[in-house]
Amino acid sequence: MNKSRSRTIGLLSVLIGVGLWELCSQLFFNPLFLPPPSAVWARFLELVADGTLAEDISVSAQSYGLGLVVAIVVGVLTGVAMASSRFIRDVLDPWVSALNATPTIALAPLFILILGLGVESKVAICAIVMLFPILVNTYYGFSMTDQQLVEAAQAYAATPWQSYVKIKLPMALPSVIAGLRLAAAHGLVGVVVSELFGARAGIGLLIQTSAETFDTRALFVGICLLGIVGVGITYILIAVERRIGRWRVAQEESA
Amino acid sequence: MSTGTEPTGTSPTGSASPAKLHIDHLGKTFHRKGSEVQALQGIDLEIEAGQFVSFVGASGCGKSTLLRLVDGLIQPTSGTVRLDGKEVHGAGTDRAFVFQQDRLLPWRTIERNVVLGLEFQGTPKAERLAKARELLQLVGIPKFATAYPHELSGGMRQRANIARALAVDPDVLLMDEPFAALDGQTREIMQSELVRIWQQNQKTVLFVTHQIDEAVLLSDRIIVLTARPGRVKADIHIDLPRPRDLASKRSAAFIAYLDRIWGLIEEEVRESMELELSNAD
Repeated sequence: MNKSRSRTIGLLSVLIGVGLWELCSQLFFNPLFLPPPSAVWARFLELVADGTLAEDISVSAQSYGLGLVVAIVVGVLTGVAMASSRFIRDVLDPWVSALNATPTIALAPLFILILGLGVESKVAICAIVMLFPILVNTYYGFSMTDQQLVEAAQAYAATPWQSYVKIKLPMALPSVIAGLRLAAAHGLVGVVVSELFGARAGIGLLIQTSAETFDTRALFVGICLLGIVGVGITYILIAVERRIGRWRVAQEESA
Repeated sequence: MSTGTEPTGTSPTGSASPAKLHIDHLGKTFHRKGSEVQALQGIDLEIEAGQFVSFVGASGCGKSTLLRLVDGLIQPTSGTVRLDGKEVHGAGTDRAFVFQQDRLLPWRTIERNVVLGLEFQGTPKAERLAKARELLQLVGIPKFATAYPHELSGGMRQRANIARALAVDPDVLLMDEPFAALDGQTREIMQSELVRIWQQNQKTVLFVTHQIDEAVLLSDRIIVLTARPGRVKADIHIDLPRPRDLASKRSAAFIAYLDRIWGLIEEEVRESMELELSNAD
């Protein structure tokens, strides 16, 4: 009841906002700087029709996807290793803390210098900005495991592997997913920035070149697309988080 | 599950006693922050199959430590624990531990919690589920099979915890103050439920409690431990007829046992309180 009411209000807010935008750019603003949504939509259809948008999306999605895979593999493995071994944690902790506090997007020019303008540098930039949220949250999740439950498993003669998979992993999973959600948003920044420095195709390139040619309608196509993808990914991961971490929320509510 | 008794002839003492559990010269010393704490010293006990044995004593006397040693969760500093003649070195499926806090996994339903031990053993799923249903019936919460732990009261959760321990069909049930966190009324109901379950299953039960009346009500035998380091101070057989109920708690014989055990513990409690006070300086 309350939930559907909130949803209706949210939807109305978006519709009214888009309506106001349309009205303002028709009446008050120079459509060159703020094109109305109708014009953006028309440009979107043009870009779909000539195939450039599909190309841009697929190139960006490739960098993003590969970067995400690298970040997940490296982040989860390192996080788990740091949580399981005091020595590994002591060795890596200063580096992880320092890099996590640094806006890693600042490393983008360096990666392009080293790896060139190809897909490698873009994957690397996406990976580095997505790595730390995943790593830190994985480490946190696995080091916060309830020792009493681990001991209970031990009392039931669980092997170390069984107690990892059936006790520690489910306990850490909500935290890992929360890290993934943060990373997903960081990754969109990463992919756009990596393409601003020069690329064959991509959403970042679309935004860059349309600004240079005063094609603000195409620029808005790029921005809106990023916004929609960002919201979509966040929604999916929140749904996964809710499903996996239902017990956690319920436990907090009943406490 | 092996229920047959191992030949006891292999035991170093060579006794042909039918005891289920042999505890010989058991001692445990903990090392904490550079200092040594001797929790248990020279415990010798023989416990027969199917016996309900309670351990009482001042807090810090090593009751829980003794239970953990028998379960194999920790290793003794000296002496041995033998179950059916075989020395205990680690946790095994012939024993199950019921902790004071229920320690149910919050992300699993009650029935999936109950089958945890069976899952570790690799019992097939269909068999596990059948076992869970049977045990939830036995402990009186069949309706909560698909509920989550947080949806249950403390007493219900403790029933699930006991069902989980019984699911692995252990020979020996180790219970560490299982009812201490429950309110008075729930506790009394759980006590009579436990006796009913024990009489149906004929398990050997080692039960740790602070409540002397609880120990007398439930047990065949009560071991009184001294203050730290814990040693056996008295070994008392409770000759009260079963079934025992609330009325038996008012019988002269029951009260005589209470007085006798309290008399044994009182000085130990005083001693351990003085020890705590001197440690606090």
